[in-house]
Amino acid sequence: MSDLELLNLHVSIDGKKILKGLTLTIKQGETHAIMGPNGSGKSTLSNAIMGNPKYSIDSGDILLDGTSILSLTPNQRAEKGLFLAFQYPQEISGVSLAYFLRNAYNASHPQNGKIPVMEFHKKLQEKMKQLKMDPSFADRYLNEGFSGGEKKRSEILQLAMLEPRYAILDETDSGLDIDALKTVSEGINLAAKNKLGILLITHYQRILRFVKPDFVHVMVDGRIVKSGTSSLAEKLEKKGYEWVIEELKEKAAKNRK
Amino acid sequence: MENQKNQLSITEESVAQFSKSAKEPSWLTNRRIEAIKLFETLPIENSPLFKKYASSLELNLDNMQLQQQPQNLPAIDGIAIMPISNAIQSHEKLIRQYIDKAPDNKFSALNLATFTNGYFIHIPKNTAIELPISLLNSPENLPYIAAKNLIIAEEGSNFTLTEENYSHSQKGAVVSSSTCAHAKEKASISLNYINSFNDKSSFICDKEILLEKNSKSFSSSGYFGGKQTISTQNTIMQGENSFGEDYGVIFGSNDERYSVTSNITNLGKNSKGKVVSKGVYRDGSKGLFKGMATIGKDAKNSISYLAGHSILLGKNSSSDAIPGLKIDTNDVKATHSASIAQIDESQLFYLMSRGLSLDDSNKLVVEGFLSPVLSQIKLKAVAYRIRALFELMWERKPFAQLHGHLEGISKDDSHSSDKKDLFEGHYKYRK
Repeated sequence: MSDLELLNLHVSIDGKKILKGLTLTIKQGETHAIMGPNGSGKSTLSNAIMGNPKYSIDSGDILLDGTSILSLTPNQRAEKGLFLAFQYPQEISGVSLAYFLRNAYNASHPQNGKIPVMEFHKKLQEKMKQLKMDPSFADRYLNEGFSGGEKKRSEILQLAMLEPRYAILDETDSGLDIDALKTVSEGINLAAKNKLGILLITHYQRILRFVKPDFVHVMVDGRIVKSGTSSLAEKLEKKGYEWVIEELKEKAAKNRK
Repeated sequence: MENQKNQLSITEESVAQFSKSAKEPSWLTNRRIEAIKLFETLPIENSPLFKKYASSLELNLDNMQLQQQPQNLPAIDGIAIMPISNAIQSHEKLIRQYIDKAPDNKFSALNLATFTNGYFIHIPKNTAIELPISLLNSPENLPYIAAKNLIIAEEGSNFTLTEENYSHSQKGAVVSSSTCAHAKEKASISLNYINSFNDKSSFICDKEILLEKNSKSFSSSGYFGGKQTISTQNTIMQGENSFGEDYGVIFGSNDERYSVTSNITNLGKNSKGKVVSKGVYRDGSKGLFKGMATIGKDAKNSISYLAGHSILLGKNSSSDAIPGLKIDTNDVKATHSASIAQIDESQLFYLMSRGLSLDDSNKLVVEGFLSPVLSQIKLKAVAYRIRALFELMWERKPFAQLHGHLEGISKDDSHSSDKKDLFEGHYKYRK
């Protein structure tokens, strides 16, 4: 069974320590939700897994099927089957979504040879239909002038087309109205059928009504402080993060005694 | 002074001698002699900013001779097309109107003094030439070639020209090209330049486009390689409702220097002018884009758009853009813009996270940067050639494999007049 392991990860950016010993194992086919207050390090986690060179891994390891991927570039990680749906997707002017995706597909699936153009477009149209995207989006410049919701759909479209083994979804639900949230969630669930391991990073519980997590983790100050099943998410929604933080303080106080 | 180092083996005497042996009229002989003096005395450019780009200019014109290359453009029914040297004999009066003027800068002076090649093309009234006329300027084994083209498109005529300038051999050479195109009422012309030079060769060019009432010009240029490229275009919208567009792409590598100027002058009422230049500079290459948009006092309700943008790859390349506006009337719409940027690392991370290598990610961003200009080039053979040169340049492969005429110029390449709206591509005006 394939898995993605984060082992005691310490990550910093510009000398500032953000992740302070994070450990988590995601098996292919599982959906893990990571919730946490602002500034807890959720986006740092996603950038570190995908290999953003701005972040430095101070200690710990990231293993894919038992092998460290720390020395791999982002594109090599993509080739191994990792995918990151960005919280703030970049706009690339002058490059159509379709042209970009075909290049990305060929680059991340070198073992398949180049996908025939017709076959690619057929698949693209099918996936766009599932995500209720207007076919004209294929010819629009990548994310340029897209609304917040359109950008998120574009990210999930890329997920559906590139068929990775593990997907990190960084606040994919933020900025979506309820209809868009449903559509995007359906897209995630469809992709998940393909034995996808998902790390769903979110602020709110509402996406978890549509994308059912197998595990829910609470992240505070660069660490996972509590793990449970989907009922944990409901409890957080009702009681807020304060409750977890209070519990932590109590624990810490006890330990000191 | 550095720029006075150019020691010409071409002298007043040799220019006069060439002119006489070619049996040129005396006004031309005199112009040539005056021009060679001007070339020797005029500075490259007075602006200190420009000097940064021109300091490396060493036109090696030693041991060169004025020599005519064989020219054999195929005859085209219905139009006068002949070597300029023949036309000087047969159409002296007409030619004189365009050539018998004092040159206004160092390099147009050099061209006037030394041209031996080039064509006279005269499109009669209401004549549409379906296939593009294709010109080649390559010095082959000569150290220097200078061509002067004169194009007159009579009322209601319509035609397309491509000019390929190249030097692919290992030798250094200088190519000088000068074109004057005159579009009369309702005429429509398209001029497309494609350059590919090895890093020992230089290219100097000046183009002047005169547009009369209701006429149109489209010009494009793709400049790839060359030790030094100095290009100046003046598009003058004399008549009302005239429309001139100029789109340029530059890709510099190694130690190459580019100085590209495109000026647009609106003189007629309701005239429109548009210039977009996009440069990509890597390694230690440097580029300067200059453009002056001038709107004359009678050019009410005219539109002028001038943009120079560049992308720098790597730390040692550099670029400047100096767009200027000079407006002498009210009720006009004038926009100019300039930018010089490096590729955003966040964009690269985004693209790489999708599986593209660093090199491919850079290339995709550059392709996207150039595409608004390239998509304006409707002539497929030109667009394909520019695409092919871009690929070779990106991969650092020699141009030599792309010798000779554009391939695949076909009827569907007859230039179309269904150009998109002037400002459609600009983000400010996009819906």
